[in-house]
Amino acid sequence: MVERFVFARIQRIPDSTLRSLADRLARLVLDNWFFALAFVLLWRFPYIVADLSGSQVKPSRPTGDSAFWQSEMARALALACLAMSYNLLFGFSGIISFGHALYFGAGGYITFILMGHYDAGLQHKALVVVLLVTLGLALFSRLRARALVVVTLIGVLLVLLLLPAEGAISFWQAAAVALLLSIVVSLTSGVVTLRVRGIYFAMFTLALAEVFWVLAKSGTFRSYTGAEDGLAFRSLLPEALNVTPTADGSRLTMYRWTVIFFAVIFLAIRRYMSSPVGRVMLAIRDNEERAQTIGYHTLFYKVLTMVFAGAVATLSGLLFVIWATDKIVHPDTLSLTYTVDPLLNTLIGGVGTLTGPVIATLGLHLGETYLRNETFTLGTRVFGLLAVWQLIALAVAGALVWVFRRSLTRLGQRLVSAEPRTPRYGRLMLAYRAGVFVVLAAALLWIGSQLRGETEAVYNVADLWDLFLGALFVVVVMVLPHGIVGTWNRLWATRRLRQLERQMRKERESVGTRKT
Amino acid sequence: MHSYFAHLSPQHRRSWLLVVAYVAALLAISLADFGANTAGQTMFRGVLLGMLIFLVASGLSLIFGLLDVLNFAQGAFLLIGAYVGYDVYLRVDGSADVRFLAAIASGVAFVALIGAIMEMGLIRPLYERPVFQLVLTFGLGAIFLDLVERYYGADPKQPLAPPTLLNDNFSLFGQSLSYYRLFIIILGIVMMIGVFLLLNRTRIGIIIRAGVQDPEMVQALGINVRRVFTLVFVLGAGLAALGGIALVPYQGATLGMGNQFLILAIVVIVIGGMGSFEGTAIASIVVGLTRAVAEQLSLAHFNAPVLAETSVLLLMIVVLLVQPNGLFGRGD
Repeated sequence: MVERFVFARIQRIPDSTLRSLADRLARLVLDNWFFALAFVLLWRFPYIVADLSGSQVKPSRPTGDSAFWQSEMARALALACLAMSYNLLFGFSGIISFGHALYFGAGGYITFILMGHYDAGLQHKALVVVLLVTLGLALFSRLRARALVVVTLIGVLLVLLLLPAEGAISFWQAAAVALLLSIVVSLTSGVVTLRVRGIYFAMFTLALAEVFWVLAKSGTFRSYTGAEDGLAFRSLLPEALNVTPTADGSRLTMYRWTVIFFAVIFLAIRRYMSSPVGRVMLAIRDNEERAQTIGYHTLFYKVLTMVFAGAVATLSGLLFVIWATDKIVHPDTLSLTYTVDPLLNTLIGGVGTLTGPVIATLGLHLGETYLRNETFTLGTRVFGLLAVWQLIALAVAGALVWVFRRSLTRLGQRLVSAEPRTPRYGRLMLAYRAGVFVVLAAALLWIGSQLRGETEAVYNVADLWDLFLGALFVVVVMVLPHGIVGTWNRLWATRRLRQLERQMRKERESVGTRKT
Repeated sequence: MHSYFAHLSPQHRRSWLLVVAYVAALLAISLADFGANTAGQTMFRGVLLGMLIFLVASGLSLIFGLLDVLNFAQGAFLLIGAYVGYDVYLRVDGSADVRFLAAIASGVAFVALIGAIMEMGLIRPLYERPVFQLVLTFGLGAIFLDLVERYYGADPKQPLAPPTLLNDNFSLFGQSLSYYRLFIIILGIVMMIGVFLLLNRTRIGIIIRAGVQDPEMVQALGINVRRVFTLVFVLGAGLAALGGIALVPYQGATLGMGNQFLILAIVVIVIGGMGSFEGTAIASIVVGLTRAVAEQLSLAHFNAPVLAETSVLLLMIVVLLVQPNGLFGRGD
């Protein structure tokens, strides 16, 4: 079909340059149809919501559904970038960092502290630092003279460009400084700690991030960070980036820039992983010693990936903060939450898959927002038949049966006196397990119906969201180690393999019949 | 004791010297800076903190040594222990002593039960996938924290009255201190000796130590290592919960204390060497002293708690750079 409607027509284009160009473009789009479709959907998302809810894309007051979901989607996209950067470490490189929130929070904090407290003397200080670093490199590293000169020149140039000698620092300059600082931090901490075993690295990153979280919250730096209240930046944000939904559509424009940012990050990570460096990273993840033996300097590649991931996290953190409705950099952006969140999304979506973290983040974030806005009480009927609390009871019963399946099996063998690998064993055990499940579920349902009177008013689904997320996390870790997308890919690959096998067998048979 | 020092490896002997020199330096600094009385108080606080850290860190270290699982949920165990203990203390009728004992017993039992379920149901199937174990304990820690917040609320709980027996004050270094503080230190020492005896003088201790060396060999000798794994996990969880409950009359219960002590415990086992019991015990006290002295120093000179927060981490970074296996670690 594609052949007939697209490529056949392209073949009919008379001009050869145009023809090859069109051919290439068509192939690019068709090979990446999923991503192209996703991009178009994201781009049209405000309009889709507007059509569904009957609200305006560019409302005059921040009330419409479309405007609300624009900002939620933008925040979800920023979190998806964070999850992708975490996946870059965890999924593609096998580096377990428990301090990723450090980079996420650093974006907002550094940028707006710099903008709020900039003094022109900083340029001189930065120049001195650059020269000192050069001196240190010259004395203690084995860099060649030419490389040293180039590094120094780049450093000086960056300082002159990013830290103006007079006047205020602009938003973009401050953001670039934040990016550079995050690169420096990930570079040094990577060089220092990536040599040690993975478990030490995990602990080190956790401790480092926790210390900065404590610093951000402590009253000592209140004039800079605003301590527990967070750093208010409404007056610092340039007008172009302000996302208040006014009639001129500044929020829509900003939403589009967010989608573009997301697409660029996605493509960059995709490109990175299919580049030679990315291939080496995969080799390191699978077996670091082997990669070393082949002759790769594994530390270099790991640090490079960490720097890349840290930079992406910094940028997405800045974007996330800009989209905050209260225009405050909250110290929570440095807390464990924003390490657990991408970790969870990576695991649920699929470790080491490109789209997994994105799909999981978007699904979970938007789902959470939706559920928090609606109110379901425990007594709400879900499928017309079951109430929410009944669903929970059934899930708990299932989980219990699954968790204790081994001991249950042992018990069952004794109870129904069945020997493994005898004819009736399978059916007997199935009946036994179903019986256990039914009894357990009935007991839990009964307990639930007794408790229902008092719990109905207190809890609703939004309150139970964290619990749901926790349960999902445990289930994914235990049952679906490859995540949703990873499992899907595997199923798909198995099916494809079967198809190929069948085809080959058929061909072999046909060859055989021809011979005889 | 004599034979212990005679059989030390050269590296461990060097580590001992280093530790003694470091503690002496801390003592000298605080003596020179604050005068005898304040220095004594600081040291007392440091030892107290060290004992509390030990209760969390010993579980972390034991579990890591035997099971090769770094249990990031250890901080959450402390947290749950503290909150459940607090809850039970308020609910039980009777004198303060009875309530305190009930709080300890129920908190430790509850957390031990959680530990047992966690090990048997969730961690055991994952021994083939160590990375997922790490991630699972980390995620469970976050979930537990969330659950505690949901159930008990985010407000910090006020310190409870210690049992009447310990509600008295005594004078030390020119300051009147509650006997309860002394009790925490004694509790820590008792636990230290108890675990040491358990490891070195009992049959189960021999199995644990052998399991640390080579679990498969122990299994091959006909011992159910899995059951010992569960036991050690439960023991570690219970110790952390004990630490949590011991904290409640001293400084109350807050949601942040789990992670705070987890970080300190991590620093301790990095400094002491993963899976080494003596290393954990020594490093706990070293870290406690460092923290207390840094706190006092920053209070006296810098008017900023930043030094106290970062001092311990700096110590860890230095040790990590100089000796990645820790002071008393196995030389692998």
